[in-house]
Amino acid sequence: MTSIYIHIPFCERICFYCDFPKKVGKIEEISTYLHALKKEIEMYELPKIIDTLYLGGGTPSILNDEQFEILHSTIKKFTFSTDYEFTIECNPEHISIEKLQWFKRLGINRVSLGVQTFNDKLLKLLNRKHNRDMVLNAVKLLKQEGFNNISIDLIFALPLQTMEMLKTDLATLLVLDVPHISYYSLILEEKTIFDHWVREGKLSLVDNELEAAMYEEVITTMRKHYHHYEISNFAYPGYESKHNKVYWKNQHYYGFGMGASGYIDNVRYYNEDRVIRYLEKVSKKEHPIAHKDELTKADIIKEALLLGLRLIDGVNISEINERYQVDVMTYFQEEFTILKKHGFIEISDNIRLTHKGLFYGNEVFSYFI
Amino acid sequence: MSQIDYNKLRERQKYIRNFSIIAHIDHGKSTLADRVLEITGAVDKREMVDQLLDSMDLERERGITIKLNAVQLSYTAKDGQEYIFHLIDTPGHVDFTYEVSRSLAACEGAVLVVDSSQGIEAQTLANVYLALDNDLEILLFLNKIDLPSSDPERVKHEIEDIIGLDASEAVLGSAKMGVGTKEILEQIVQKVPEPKGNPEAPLQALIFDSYFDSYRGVIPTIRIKNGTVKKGDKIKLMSSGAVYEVTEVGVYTPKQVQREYLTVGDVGYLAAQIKSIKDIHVGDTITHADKPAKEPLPGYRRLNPMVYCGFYPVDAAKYDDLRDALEKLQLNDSSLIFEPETSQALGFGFRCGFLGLLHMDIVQERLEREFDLDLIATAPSVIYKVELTDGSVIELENPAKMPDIQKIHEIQEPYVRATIITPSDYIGTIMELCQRKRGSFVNMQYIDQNRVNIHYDIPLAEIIYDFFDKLKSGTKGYASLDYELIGYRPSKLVKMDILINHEVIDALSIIVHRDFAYQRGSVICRKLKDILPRQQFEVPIQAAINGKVIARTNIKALMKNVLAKCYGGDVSRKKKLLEKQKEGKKRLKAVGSVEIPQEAFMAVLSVDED
Repeated sequence: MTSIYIHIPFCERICFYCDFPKKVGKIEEISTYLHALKKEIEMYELPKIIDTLYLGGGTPSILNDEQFEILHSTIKKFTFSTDYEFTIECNPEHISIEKLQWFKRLGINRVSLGVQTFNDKLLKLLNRKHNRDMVLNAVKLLKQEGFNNISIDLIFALPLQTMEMLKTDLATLLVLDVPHISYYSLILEEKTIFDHWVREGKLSLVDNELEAAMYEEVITTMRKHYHHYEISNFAYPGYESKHNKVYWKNQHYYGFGMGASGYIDNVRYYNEDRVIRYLEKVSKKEHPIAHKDELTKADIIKEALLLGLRLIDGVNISEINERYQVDVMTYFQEEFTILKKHGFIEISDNIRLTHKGLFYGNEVFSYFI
Repeated sequence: MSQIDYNKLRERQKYIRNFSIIAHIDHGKSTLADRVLEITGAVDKREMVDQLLDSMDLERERGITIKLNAVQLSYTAKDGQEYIFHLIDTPGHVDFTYEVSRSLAACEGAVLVVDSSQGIEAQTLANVYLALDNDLEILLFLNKIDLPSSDPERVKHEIEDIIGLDASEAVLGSAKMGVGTKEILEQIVQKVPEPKGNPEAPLQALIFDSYFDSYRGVIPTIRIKNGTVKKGDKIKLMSSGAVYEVTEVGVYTPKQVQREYLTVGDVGYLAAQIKSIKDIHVGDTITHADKPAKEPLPGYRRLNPMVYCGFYPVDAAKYDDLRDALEKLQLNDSSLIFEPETSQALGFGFRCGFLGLLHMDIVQERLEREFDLDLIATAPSVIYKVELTDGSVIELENPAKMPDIQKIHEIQEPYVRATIITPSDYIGTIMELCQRKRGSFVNMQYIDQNRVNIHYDIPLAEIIYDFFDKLKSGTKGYASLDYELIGYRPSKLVKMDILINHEVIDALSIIVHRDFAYQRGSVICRKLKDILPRQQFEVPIQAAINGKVIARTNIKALMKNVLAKCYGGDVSRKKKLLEKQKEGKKRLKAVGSVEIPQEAFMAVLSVDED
């Protein structure tokens, strides 16, 4: 299995809650970046066949014809496996016949729409450009053009959001009938506009109690129609994200582009997260890596649980034991005993979060860092 | 060893000048000391660390002097004569008043530094009075004349009016710019008297500081008042009666330099393999064992702690480490006292006594920094005197140990006389604050048209609460405070318990005045509500007196705590976020089923009425 993540850090505007590596880019800058990206990828000797490729951002869908051309010259060298998954993150307002032609040329077969909410007022608060109608049109056009593997990203527990608003979002979502949904609760990240407003007292987050009730509502509603397979992810059977499962299953993947991270040969590496530094290093034919963590066996086993417990099925005990040559039940005996006592996990063939554990995931994860 | 020529010593004595620099905090004492060290060549400019006398990291960070230092300097005056100076540093904080008075007792003169842009402050007054008590010649250095707001004439008037010192010969200078340093050194030569005393008389050496050296034992810093001491002498500590043999004498330059002997007027150190800090008390007198002085030098008194609090290790397994650390600190700090204590909430720890709040803060910080301990400190408490119905009196330094109310006849608490100097615009604010803190007005004097000196008698316990912060914020930082203990007075005091999740947390119990109990109780409950992390269940917080709940609030349950995203495979980011949560938990103490953070134990202190 070979997986690649490519980061396109450019946006037309900055969303007020976002802390991913990003910037508002000029046209020339984006092209320069894409040329550098090509050089970075060429520094690696990649396996012949690629199974999953993920174009994330930023906003990869802002690229123009010339820029897609550069990207195409990079990606056309890849050979994909028969059941490959190639996702692009996309803003709803960018979906057009022309863009979709480019997606097809590149081999993209899965589109992830950054919808966040269908509530126009809340969208403004987030500094998003699109509105509800644009999303409906985008989904319609995608389906018309044969893009059936659509994922929608949504956020709940937004400032000013009420339970009623959430229910309306859920209802709209179900009508759209797309096969994959990521439904995240808002995380207040440092150094975002929201964080700044909260500190200044201009904005308040929803109460923790309401947030919990909202999560319960999301889970209950979604489970009636979708397979709930990860803390925040829901899919029609067979449409679970192959690429994201690579992360959760603690498997290796390449990360390319500014601020991207990869995990190869038990080393986690993190690329430079500023464009200038990234370009500088690539132009000197250096790997644009800011730092690397070489993982010990103990690190790897902990990460396997840290990530694997995000999946609703959790981790399979015999699989872990075989893969890491360990008796995981003895290895984490103390941790598991405490977590079981709290009612956060249950253990059978698999170790997995209980329903309660889903709500207190961090209490569980903190035992594995 | 060759015979000592006492006539030579008497001649040398004429050229010794011993002085301190005294000032209100921030008025430039350490900066002036630095300039003096530079000019006398004691310290090479290159190796000069700014404010050298404040040698502990903590001291430098906080801009205060905690431990004393004494340096021997050589100064060639305008008359061509070489003089031996001893510059004795003094702590600049009210917690350490006794140490200040002892180090002033080691001097014949003092340079009073006053910020010429600000004028006299409360601590200036306190220190000047101490200097006058010790019959010192006081020289004036009006500092910071380079500042635009400097007004030396006004400050001179203040000094003449309030203290009654002649300010006509005050040196106008700027320690920062090096202006006026030479002038003040010449004044030291001219005006500070030479040391009196007889080098052939029985030895009288005043101990005004000490520290612990792991090879040489406790090393006292001393000033010789009479007699001469050298290596091999048998000495006796007059208050404890302990006898030791001197292994080394010397001076600070500021490095330690061994000398053959120390004699009248000398300020230096003495090593005698003294193993126990308990034998050495600041203010005590050292004499010869075989030819003792008839009397010790006057003024010695044992220091008693004013403020107590409990220190508990967050990790119970670190109890022994905490005891070791306290023992080590005590070697350098004889005013720190501690004894084991048990709390139902916090387990095993120590009740520690301090000279004041700053002292307590410093000890806690040193324990955490130098010994890498995570501590829970309970709110500081004063010592109450509780008269029981059977007529006996107990001294209570831990509120949790208050006897049953039926057994109490009367409770007394310590009072201080507070001296507050402030611009007259703030008289109203300050009086209101003092009244609210149960103070009783003593008197008020105008220093000049714009500034007044206000005296209030206030319970020490109220000063420990947020008095100083309130004073500063209420006067835009202009008011200054000094205080001295004046004795015990009966008060209507009660013990207030705090219950978390229906359990009395003994370490949160405080003693409050009955009239303020309801208000304080509800503020504490509200405050704890903000501080305590949400648990997975609802937690009630209550304040109670004699089992009767007087205030309550609830902490809602934490319903959800889970990271939603996986951040494009960026595992380190996720870990960082989780680590931050974990770090926050490290300082929580699990009490029953509730986790209580350190700040909670201090919350009972800062009672913001607003």
